[in-house]
Amino acid sequence: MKEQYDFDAIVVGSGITGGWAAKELTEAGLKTLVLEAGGPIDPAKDYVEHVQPYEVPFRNWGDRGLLKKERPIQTDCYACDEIGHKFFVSDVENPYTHADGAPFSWFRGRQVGGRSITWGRQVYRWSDLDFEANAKDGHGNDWPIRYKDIAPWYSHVEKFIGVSGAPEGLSQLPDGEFLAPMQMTAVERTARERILKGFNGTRLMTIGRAAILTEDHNGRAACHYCGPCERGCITHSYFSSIGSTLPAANATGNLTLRPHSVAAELTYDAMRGRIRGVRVVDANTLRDTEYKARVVFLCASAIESVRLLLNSKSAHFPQGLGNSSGTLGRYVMDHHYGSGASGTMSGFTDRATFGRRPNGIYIARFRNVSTQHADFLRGYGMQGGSSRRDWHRGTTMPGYGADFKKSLLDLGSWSLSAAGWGETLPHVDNRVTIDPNVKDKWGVPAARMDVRWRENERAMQRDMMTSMAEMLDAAGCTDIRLQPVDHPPGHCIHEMGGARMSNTPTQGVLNAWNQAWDAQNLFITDGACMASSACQNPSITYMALTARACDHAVSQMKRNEL
Amino acid sequence: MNLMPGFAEAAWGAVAAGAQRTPRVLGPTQEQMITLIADTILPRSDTPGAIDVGVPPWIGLVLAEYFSDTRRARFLADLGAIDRLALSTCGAILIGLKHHDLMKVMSSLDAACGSKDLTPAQRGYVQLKELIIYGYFTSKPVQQDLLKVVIVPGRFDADVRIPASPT
Repeated sequence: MKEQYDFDAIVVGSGITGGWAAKELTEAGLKTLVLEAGGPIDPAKDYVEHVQPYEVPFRNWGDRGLLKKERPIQTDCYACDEIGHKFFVSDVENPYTHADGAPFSWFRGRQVGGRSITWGRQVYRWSDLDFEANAKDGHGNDWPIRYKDIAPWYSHVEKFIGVSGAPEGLSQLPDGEFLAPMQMTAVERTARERILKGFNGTRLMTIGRAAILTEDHNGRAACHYCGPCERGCITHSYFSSIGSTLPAANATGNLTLRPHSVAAELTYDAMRGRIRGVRVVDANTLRDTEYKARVVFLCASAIESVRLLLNSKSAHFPQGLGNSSGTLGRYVMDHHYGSGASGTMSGFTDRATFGRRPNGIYIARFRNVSTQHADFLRGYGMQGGSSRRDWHRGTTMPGYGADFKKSLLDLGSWSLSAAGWGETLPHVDNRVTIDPNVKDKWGVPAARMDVRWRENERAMQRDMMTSMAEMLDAAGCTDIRLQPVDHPPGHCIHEMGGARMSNTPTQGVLNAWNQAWDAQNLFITDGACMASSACQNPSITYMALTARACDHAVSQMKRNEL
Repeated sequence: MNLMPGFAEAAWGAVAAGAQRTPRVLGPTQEQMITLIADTILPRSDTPGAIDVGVPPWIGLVLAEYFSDTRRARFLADLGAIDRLALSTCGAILIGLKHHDLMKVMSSLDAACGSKDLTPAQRGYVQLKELIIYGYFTSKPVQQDLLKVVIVPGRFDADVRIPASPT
């Protein structure tokens, strides 16, 4: 008997990758259901980027009842504050646990648009330095793809979302399809030249490559430089699914978007060896519904997608769906970040900036590019910027009285700082499992994290500080201060891995097309698919892999291979 | 154009209407001390002072509903240490000091700003100074009239030429 389907495709998640899957699949003519655990967002009412501190009672600190009781974990993220907390989940409703001695920060957004509303918008291509790393040093498994496989898909994504940046011709950080770059300050331009000279051209500071429009693009307006993108953007000037891919999908007439739909389990047809559909708990009524489709895309974010698979047990998959290799939930990574240095650049007191640039500078990876560092494998990029110190300096400097007040209304000296974003080695014991004793508000068993930084990451963090201090010195800064930072894993919100791509079914969960080895009509294209982390902000790679996987799925469906 | 979203307006309304309902965590002497220090650090001059823009009552709100019970208890204990310092060095609690003695105590406390090893009195002062400065510079009159914050700049200019300022 022929299987009856409710939809051609189901996409779980409506964020960065879910939006891309929705766009690509609907534009290919597939009737597509997008499931979103959270509620709808109306940018006109919900976005708060122009709210000023004096418009909220606690001047953006929030009251402890609202934030500390409901969101004790989420408020450790800079963007979860009195104004923007609505885009972060309630920790009370969404519990997770971690192993003793292994704290893990899991910052989450359940709403249409997911974390594409709050993301950092930095987008950097990977190179073969990254795709070949596992194979070369033996940590993790070899990626089943190389740069040439993904390069056209990077271009495909960049042309649609709009990426501002400066081409630099670096092999380790390939250029993309850039809109005009944002401007560097006079201090940054000077530092760039001095650092280039001081390190024989090996250390390059460029303007951040950001998914923020510097010119009108695809019907979206250029940035108006108000500053806090993480609170939304009424002009959709930075890329979000809600402002770009979901409207494109909707325009096809093939999209059904179902908010308040918690994906609780993938159902499996053991006779046919395929995913049958998705069991959904209605977030409001708690009623169960199963939706069936020819193909399912998991785009729920790395840990959520792995959690969903681990919770989808059956006689055929007693250890979780798609886990015949035993690697499901293993090799979880994040970027370790934040250690660096700051300094003061003297002079330039006749220069200031106007507008709030939602972007900074980027120092491309320079460690282990052509020579091997003695203390660690892989590398890191650095992100930072310069600005003139403002009234905030008054909180830590001596002084009081009318003259003190007057001085704080003037601009202070220039600061220049940057911190590292480092690659984390894939480790078999860095993993997510299911906590048998904890369920979320909707009855779905919770994730349990056991992810730890190890010696390679620690050594890299030390080097981030000393190398940045060296660069500040070369740039001519004084009062250089090291900034040691020790955030727990997850804090960078670049959590990835857990359902990695591989060359063979015994090594991983997904093949070279993000397709589950154990069920060919299942694709996982969020961060769970990653076999290594590189050091670049990962979202553009997820987007490119999603578009590529969609193209493959559609091709297979056209050939009746799915 | 009213840029304040509904939720913020409602929250503000609740605070404004329910000022009496906000649990009072400061005694009259403590309120007077905070007001005195705020007025000394950021006095009225040709521009508004901390009292003019409502910093002391805002600090009261923050202490009541933002600080945890533990943090508030320690902070209030540290304010008590300021009074003990004033008493031991000048013979009266802070709000009872003559101007000359007040400046003497303020100078000794203020010199600790930026230091790491602080006495309880210095710790209380440094934390209070941070609240005063943050409350002042995030207030609407200061943001709009003195800092002239442009909410929607419409462009980014990385290199604006301005008169050189001493830093």
